[in-house]
Amino acid sequence: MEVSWLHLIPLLPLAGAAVCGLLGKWLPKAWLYAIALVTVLLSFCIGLTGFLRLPEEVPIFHEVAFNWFSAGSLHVDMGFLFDRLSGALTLVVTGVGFLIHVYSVGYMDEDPGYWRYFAYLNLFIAAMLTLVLGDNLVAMFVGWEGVGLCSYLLIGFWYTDEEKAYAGRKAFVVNRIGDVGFLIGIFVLFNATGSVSFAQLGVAPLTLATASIAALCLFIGAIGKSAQLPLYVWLPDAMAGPTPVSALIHAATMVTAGVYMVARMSHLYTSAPGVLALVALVGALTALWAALIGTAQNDIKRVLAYSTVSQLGFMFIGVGVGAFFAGTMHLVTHAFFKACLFLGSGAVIHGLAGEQDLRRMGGLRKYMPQTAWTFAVATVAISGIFPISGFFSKDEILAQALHTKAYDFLTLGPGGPHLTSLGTILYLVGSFTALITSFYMWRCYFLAFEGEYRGPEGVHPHESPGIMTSPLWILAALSVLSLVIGLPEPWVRGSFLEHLNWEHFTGRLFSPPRGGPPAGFSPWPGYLVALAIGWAGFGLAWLLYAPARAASGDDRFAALFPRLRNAFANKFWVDEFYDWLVVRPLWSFARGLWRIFDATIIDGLFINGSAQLVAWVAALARRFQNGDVQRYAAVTALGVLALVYAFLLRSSP
Amino acid sequence: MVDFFHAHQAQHYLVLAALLFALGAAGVVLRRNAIIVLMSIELMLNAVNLTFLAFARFPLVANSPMQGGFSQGHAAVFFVIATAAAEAAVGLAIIIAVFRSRTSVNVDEFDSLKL
Amino acid sequence: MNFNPGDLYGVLPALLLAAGALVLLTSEVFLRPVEPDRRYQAWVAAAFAFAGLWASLAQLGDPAQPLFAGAAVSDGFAHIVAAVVCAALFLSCIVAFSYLESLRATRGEFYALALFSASGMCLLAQATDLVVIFISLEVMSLAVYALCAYLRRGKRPAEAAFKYFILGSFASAIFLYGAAFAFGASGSTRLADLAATVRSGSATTLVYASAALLAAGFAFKVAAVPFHMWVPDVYDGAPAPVTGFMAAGVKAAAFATLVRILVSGYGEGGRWRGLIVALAYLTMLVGNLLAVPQRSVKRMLAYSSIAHAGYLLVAVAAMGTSAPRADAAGALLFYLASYGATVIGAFAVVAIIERKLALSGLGDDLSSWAGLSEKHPALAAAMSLFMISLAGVPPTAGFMAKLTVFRSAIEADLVPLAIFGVITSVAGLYYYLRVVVYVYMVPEAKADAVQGGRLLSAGLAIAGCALIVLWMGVLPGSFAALAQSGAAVFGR
Repeated sequence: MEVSWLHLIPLLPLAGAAVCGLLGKWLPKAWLYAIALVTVLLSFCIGLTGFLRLPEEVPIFHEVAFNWFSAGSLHVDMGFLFDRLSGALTLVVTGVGFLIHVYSVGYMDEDPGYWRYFAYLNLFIAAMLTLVLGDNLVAMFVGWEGVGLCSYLLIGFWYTDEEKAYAGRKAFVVNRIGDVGFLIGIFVLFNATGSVSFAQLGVAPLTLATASIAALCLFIGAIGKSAQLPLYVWLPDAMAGPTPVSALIHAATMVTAGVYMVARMSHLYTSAPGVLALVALVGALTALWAALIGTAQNDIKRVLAYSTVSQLGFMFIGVGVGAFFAGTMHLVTHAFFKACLFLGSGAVIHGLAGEQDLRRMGGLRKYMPQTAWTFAVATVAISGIFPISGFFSKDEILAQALHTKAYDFLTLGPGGPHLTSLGTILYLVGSFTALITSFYMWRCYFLAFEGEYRGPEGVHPHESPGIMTSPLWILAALSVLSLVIGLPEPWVRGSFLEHLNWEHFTGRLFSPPRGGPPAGFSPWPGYLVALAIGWAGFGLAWLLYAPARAASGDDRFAALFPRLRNAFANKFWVDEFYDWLVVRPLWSFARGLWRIFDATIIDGLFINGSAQLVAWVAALARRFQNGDVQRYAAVTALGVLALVYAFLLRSSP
Repeated sequence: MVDFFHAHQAQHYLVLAALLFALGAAGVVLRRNAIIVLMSIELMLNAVNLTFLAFARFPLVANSPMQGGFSQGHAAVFFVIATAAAEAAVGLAIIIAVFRSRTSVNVDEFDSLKL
Repeated sequence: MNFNPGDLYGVLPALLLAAGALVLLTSEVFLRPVEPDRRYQAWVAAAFAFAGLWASLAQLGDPAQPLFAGAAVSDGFAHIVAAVVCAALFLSCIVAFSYLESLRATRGEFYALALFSASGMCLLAQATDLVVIFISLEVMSLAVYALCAYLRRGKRPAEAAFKYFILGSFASAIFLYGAAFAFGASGSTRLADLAATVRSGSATTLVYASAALLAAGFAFKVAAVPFHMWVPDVYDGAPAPVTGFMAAGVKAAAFATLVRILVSGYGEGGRWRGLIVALAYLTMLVGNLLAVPQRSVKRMLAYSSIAHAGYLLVAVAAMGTSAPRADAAGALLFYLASYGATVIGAFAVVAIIERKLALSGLGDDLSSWAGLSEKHPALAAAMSLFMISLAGVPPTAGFMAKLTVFRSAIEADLVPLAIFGVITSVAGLYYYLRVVVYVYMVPEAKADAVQGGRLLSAGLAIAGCALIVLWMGVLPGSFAALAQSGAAVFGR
């Protein structure tokens, strides 16, 4: 259905950004907050109204805002597309965005640059909404670049020390590599189909070669934006920015843009099954890799950052096995619980006067119970423990991987072996990763909130003001409630919940993979394995981190596991044994991974390499551009001679 | 069609003009005095004038498609001479402006702008 | 030769601008005793620039016709270039007004010289005779040399003018030598006759030598590598409003002429295409690479101007197919307009920052931009907009311009060139965004980054440029349609 109000959704935050950015310095604080918050809230309300009124038969709102560009055969309309996927994401972006705005009012109140901060934040939301709602690749690229710019501005928001400047540069270089891929992908698709709009790309017949090249190029963009191997390194460093920013941009919304793009281009990716397999493989490797590294981090925000990279890997497994609905469902649930985790960590950092080291926390549940409870709920969600949202969305991905038919006909080279077992491998890797995820997330929780306070002496941990805790509660509630979209279809068939089921809900949006969707498998075996895995990770973390360090005052777990508790609580050698058997190898392995890859290759080659290049170019320029006009004339004369020579050479038969 | 390097009445003039042009270019690149650099540019322009005149007097092609025929070459020379005069005036003025700020017309010393 | 007075109408913009220059010069002589305040001159100049803009736009619908027995032409391509030049002049006059006032350097000849040079640029876009091209080139260049040396304080302006003058005259002589060869080969200085000679197949070494020399002369003016070396020093040393005008106007006129010479004079077969492609590769690479280590914003913009010449050369190369492509010419015009608006705006902001530095004769440095957002958020926002437009990030004019240019290159089977362009332009973000970083993120180092004073007129010009940049980025339709109509003379 053609409508005329869609443009308001991104326009309102944009207007808010303009007012805050240009006049913010002179506006009273309360007005500024009101403008920044109300514009986002209005966008949310418009999105919600539209979402509830989506027509049943063709659930699409479409608006051609204006004829953006038409030159020759290229005809690009600046249009907005509001269907069930982009509509849901609009709600996530504006909803979570609004909560983070509210939280930021408490978090950034003291900062002298608060007006810039809110301007950037609103600008980010406008750009993200453009990315989500754009009805063609070029409009999506507009948002893609816009969110990148805002992320860059916000990572470097506290641009005081060299390290943060370096983090900004890292994010920048890495994202540029991705952008090149994305742009080239657009050109390839345009060249092949003559169009850039999703509606036409969604039905355009593509040859395998074209589809593969275009899908690969676009995926390079997704790798950069969504922090996958080998370009994930910028995300942990991006934690240099303010924590609400990490929650909004580097966890809930921007970094998921790559997943959204792959899902949006489902037709292209299903036309290129080889690239689809690559997407899933990259996702699985990244998920495992980042989870392993996450076990060895002591900075609370870095733990969450690596877990974000890992969860994004899960989403890519989902879309990579052709289960686009599963990947995007995890995207939505992840947005809630990861935002909750990040805001919780922000509350901890706030309450501890800037302390981020897990080793110097502990026992915080006593001082900040609201933060602790919400953090625990979100941790349950991310570790995939029944029955909170993460359990269903993650297991949908794993089940789909196990039963996928997307690779059945895919061979390794002509006449090579079939890749039918790839799905099983993905399932195993994913399940193992889920175990580690549960382990390190609970480790994080225990170290921060349980046991005795180990923090700095003079600091008195305290709960955050209500304006910061209320978003935590809402997000925690959403993490729980969003389980309804993940309930397996057989359970809800016939009830009103059926309409909320994500698979059913997005049913006609995505192209099925070439082998067709997997059908008729029972969810139970997968659920049982997942249940065991979630608890196993929890148990491992508890064994290693709860008893020794939380010897007293840990009644909750003592009541749950009295025998285990009695067995291990005072036996220090068990701890040592585990330490020797599990923790140390794991730790050194994870450290080693980090050192080899992150520090040597990416930092050494790309980041420092670019600095070296700058120095080298400067030296070269100094030699040639030395201010001597006669040297310039000599170069010009040589150029003329070369040009004459080249022309004569070409003209001679 | 007569080839450039084959026997032709114009060739002596053309070779002389080419030599003058190269000499002027070498002067621009090598001489240190700004005034002499300016004069070298004038030399290049005059080499061009000679080329125009050679082609106008001893045409390579049978007839000129222009109104006025090959005499347009002569006309071009007058335009070049007039323009060269204007160029020399502006050039000298700029050299004087540079001289005022550093009391030197040595090109090597004009290097406060670099990299 | 029959002189048809009606032909004068065809060069109306150039005539208006020249008349404006004469009015200003005579008013300088006659009004001086009566009216010592010469601020009115900026507004007179702006009025004539606006009249020129109006004239060139009014002529846009006229059918293409040769003027003065084929020495010039009145067509859409030339009118669009003239419109770009006049708009650039108009905005530059407004910027220069506040710049010169705050330096107390308002003198009559500034605006007269600017009008003369713009008149030369308009003629250059229309000229189809090598001698006329040479004369217009000199009218433009001599005035710009003088403008560079306009500020008499410090060593830098005069030195910049000297370098520009020496190298520019050197390039003019090379161009003229090529014109002489072309005359020898075809017996004529008209581009059309040259094209006939090329088409007849009797082209000799002489023709190709002339093509190389003529192309070299204009490769110098458009700042293509390896003829670019004057650009950084001249852009750095010249007053910022002049630099902005040069970057927008000279580039537009020079590219228009380069296209005319290559396409109208050396035929559509495109034997020159490979060489333009090579120049484009080299120019994009060197311009982007050398911009990276620059700490002076003006020098960075100078290298960026070289890089943009590379992207424009991509459009020129895309015209070198067997059948000339109107869409490539349209892309070129669109790019010229978008680059002009962006770069004038950027140099206008530089001019505001530079006023203080200009007095001390020092170059600018990124550190003098620190904390601009605190004192002047609007100025900071505008500068950021210009930077991201230069970088080619949506939704700005620069992005649209790059998109159309690369698209035309792809349609002309120059895919590697387009991909190279995409890669270099994305790499270019590195140095453009560094300015944004300094503007927004680095705390202010010194107390008075910007003096107050006559910011209003410069602010108006900056706002105008920002508006155009956004407009061309968000709603490029009407601009693109104009560019296409102007490009229609080059075939389908």
